[in-house]
Amino acid sequence: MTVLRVRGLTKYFPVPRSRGGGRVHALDGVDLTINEGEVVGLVGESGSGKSTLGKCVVRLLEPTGGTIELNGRDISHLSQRRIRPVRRQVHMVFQDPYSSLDPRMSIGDIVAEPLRRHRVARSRELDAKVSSLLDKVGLAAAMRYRYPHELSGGQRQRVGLARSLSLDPSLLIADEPVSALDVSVQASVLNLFMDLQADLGFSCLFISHDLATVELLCDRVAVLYLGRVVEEGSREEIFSAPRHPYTRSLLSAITVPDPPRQRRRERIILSGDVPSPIDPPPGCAFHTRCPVAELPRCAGESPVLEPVGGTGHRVSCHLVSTLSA
Amino acid sequence: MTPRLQVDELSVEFDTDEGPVLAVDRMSFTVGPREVVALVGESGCGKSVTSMAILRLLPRRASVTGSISLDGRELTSLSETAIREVRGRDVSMIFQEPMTSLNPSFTIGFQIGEVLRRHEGMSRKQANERAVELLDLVRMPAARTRLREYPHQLSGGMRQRVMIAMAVACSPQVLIADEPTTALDVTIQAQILDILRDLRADVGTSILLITHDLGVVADIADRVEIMYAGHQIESGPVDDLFSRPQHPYTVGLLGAVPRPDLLAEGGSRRLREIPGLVPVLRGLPESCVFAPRCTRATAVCGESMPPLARTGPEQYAACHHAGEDSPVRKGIQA
Repeated sequence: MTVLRVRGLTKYFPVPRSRGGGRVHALDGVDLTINEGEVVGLVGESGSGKSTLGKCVVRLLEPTGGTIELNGRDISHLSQRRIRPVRRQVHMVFQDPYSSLDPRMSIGDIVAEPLRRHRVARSRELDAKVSSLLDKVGLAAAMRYRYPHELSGGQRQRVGLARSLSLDPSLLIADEPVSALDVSVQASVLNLFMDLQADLGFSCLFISHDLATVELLCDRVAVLYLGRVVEEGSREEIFSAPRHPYTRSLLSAITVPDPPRQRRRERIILSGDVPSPIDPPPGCAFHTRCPVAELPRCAGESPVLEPVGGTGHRVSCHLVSTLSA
Repeated sequence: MTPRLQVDELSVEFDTDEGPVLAVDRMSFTVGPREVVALVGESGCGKSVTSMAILRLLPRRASVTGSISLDGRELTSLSETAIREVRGRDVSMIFQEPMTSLNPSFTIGFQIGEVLRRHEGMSRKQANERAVELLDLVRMPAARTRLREYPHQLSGGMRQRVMIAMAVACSPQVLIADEPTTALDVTIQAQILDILRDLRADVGTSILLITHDLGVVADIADRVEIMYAGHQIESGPVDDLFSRPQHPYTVGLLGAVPRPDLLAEGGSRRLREIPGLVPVLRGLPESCVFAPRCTRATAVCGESMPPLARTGPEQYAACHHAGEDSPVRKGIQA
């Protein structure tokens, strides 16, 4: 069953006239589906639109165009009032465990808030639920009386996970959930995430710039560049047989903590920076940095996301047939 | 090989409202010509404090003891005027935050030129010409027109390139790079690492790299110093240390990084966790600083902090039970 279906999603932000006017093309026609129990990785560099996509799906932002269907229901333009019940089905885990917890609420209240809001449980039943949630994320029951400032970064991120799972959502949006944490703490939060996902079976959109983590966790991966999906496929397709030149350079930029292996890795070093999403390059947005771009075609025509092979592997590149598989 | 930079028994203690905090305890290491040495550890391990101590950039409430010498010249006893001559000319530094380490109210050209006018006595015109060369060296597109631009007009990657251009303006013997790629995207990180690699090869700069990213270390470092709670707990050539880590903390760190490349070879999807938290040291430790989180800890670990001891031809570890993880031990965690 399809949990999330995003079609032709666009999101533009106006730029004030005092700063030159125009609009930021944060998302430019994104298609994405997530099936039941599936973990889909969304990767891309800063400014690629990956966080904007996450925020549109939980409707913290209203899309400019396109549709978002959650469990078969179009939520792209629901009013604030009508979106409220939908929020039981989709929850978000934020990147920064310091600013995403209210410093004046106890841990117990933070975890209980969604349950109270949606009138799922009260009094003794609520207490029991909070204890079991804290237990699930590996926190002692006595933690409920503590406040965020008393907790370490890893513990806070566990609280964030407990809160987002409290209503048993069918979809979790995890926006860089471990990138603010130290390596050893990251490991324990990622292990916990894998256990919970296997246990509870929720679907997840996992937004990250860390490709190693994405390869470890995700069933399918979509690669964003300047608001467009340039390649999409299963974990194996993306990591073992990437077709888009951008995906290839992104993968070649991963460093592995194994010196001889790292020295042997093929390096594709891109020149220049990601262009501004206010004025994205015409044609294929990647052509300005692409090592194999063929002018004038790549600068003139926008490529579309097309299937390569029989499976769900899709690539948006004019030259895909000429690149070795 | 005589080292360029030699740090001997460096300790840094901060006087805080809650009493003294020992940030670095008796660090010793060397950086040779054209060598890249990485100081590795998690937040609060003392790696940045160590690098700041070298350039004497720590506040007054820090008491620094030990010796730091550059080509045989002691830096700790230099006068304020003399150390200012060293900074930026003999030893220079690039920081993690390219956003906050450039002055927003001066042009790029002025800021790079400042170093050259100050240390090399160049005229404004000479400094401008050299600044263009430097920006070319760090592969800045359209170098000449950039001179008149301000930091806010540049992207993060370009600002970091300006920082590197400033840092290498006087061809320093040692470049200290404090998390130079942490705030950058992966494709930009690859560019910056490539520039650092070239600097070492072409200009012969020695680099002291401060980082928590073991992938970056594997990419560029020759030798590694692993730090934990202000202590040097393992030290050695990069290949030896990564293939045969001896200290349980190093073993833990290497196991905590996702290694999807090993899945095909039968590696586990589960990551190794290091339970517990990093301690804050109030004074000299009476037991091994890692013992409370260590799977190998025994009674002896509670009695004294072990000193660095040789475990291989050039490898050292500070552990009472140094050694590679036996398969049995690996099984416990996996």
